[in-house]
Amino acid sequence: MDGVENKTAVIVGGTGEIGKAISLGFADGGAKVAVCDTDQKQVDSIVEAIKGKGGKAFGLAVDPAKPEAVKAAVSKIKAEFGSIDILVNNVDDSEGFEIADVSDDRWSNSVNKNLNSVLYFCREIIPGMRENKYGRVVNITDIDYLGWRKGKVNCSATKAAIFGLTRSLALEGAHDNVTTNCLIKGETAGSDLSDDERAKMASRTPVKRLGTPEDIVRTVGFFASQKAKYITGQMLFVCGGKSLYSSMAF
Amino acid sequence: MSIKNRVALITGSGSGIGKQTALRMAESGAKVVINDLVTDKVDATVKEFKAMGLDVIGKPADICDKTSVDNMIKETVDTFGSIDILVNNAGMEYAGALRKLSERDFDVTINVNLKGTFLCCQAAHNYMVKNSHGRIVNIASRAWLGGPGQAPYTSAKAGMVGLTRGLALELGGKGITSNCIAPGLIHTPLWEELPEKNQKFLLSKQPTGQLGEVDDLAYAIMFLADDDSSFITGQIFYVCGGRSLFSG
Repeated sequence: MDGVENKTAVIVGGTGEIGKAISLGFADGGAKVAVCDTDQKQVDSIVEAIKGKGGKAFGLAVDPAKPEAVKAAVSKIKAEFGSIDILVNNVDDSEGFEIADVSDDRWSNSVNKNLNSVLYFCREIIPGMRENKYGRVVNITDIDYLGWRKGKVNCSATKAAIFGLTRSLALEGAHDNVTTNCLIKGETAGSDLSDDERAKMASRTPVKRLGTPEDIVRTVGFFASQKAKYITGQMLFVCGGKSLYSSMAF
Repeated sequence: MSIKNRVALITGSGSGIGKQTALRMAESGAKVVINDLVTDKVDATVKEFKAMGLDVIGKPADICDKTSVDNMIKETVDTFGSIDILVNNAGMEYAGALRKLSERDFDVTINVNLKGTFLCCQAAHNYMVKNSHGRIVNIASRAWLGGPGQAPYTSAKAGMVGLTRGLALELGGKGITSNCIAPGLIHTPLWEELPEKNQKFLLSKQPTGQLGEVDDLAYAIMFLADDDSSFITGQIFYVCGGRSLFSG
């Protein structure tokens, strides 16, 4: 990752397979990384990994769905690193259900994780970016926002909301050099998949392979860099061409 | 990120966006072919870049002519051993109210923007398939969404978007990606020729309130042309300072 050296990057959802790769990617690029996630042990593990390689990192166990907790976390990050230059929203709740099975709790869980967490972190961080006349916000959503698979009602709705949020934030920050973009990830080869499942999913993708965390990291890195200063409000599919199967994916 | 030692052909690279992209790619270690319709522009660009120690050659050619395109691609491979990156950047526009446009205006605009892109993709992909590697980046325009007085250009650029998506599906399993860049307002010599009142009007529609620079496009093109962008294909990447967000 280049173009992020000495910048402060907040990675929300920074410890899962993709989140970890993003956190380490920014650290490799010389950024100061604030790793935020719910599990203290996992957060500590990523922070230690970064520090072990000589990088700068600060970890926070925080429930991103609780506005007061987010507010407190952002204050601590600012106290540790000063101003915040980059925000990556990577919280992902992809457990989907058909409408009859979307209980109030399941709906609240999806709204809290996929949408509210983005809103809360953006609300705490973007005003400071605008004052500083510099900011890069990257929201990560999922290709299932297209609503093209059954049993994903709660996911599709909350993932799609990121579309409107990203574009609105882009307009607000445009004059202040604060860009907001969205990466729409396709199917990635998580460790939870069997070889057969991977092969089947890959065969249904135009490039005949599944995505990797590295595919996501490099695109996040590009959006977060100075090289992407004239790109804002955009939705970029990193999906091996699978979006081509949808008439809604432009 | 890496395009080092990759062979890149950029059409319309005797000036403007194409030339800057060629410069940045060559500086990053790519072997670059400069193409333009105007031989003098090709020669001047090659001379300038060679003086900087960059690995470039020039291939003047009319991209609307199949024989010229086939020869250009073949000569590229003969010289550098492959063609890995194709940037279809050459473009032009005849604009005006529908009632004032001639058949020729339409044909020429379609030929240069769309047919030229098709011919270059067709010729280059034969070599890319053999190497199981290729990056096609087509420079469309935000104008593909539609613009008054731009019937030929809008048609041509929308055609390029369709071509890009079709090739992404057709070539995706062969290691070849195909993507579009849709530039917004960019600070080029053409911008300087616009009357001040037109410039003010256009900037008032710009969320960032600023023009893009040719480097903004060069870096986006290089991002898509990179070896590591193998999981991005069939996309339209707007580099427009957020202009695509506005409806009016």
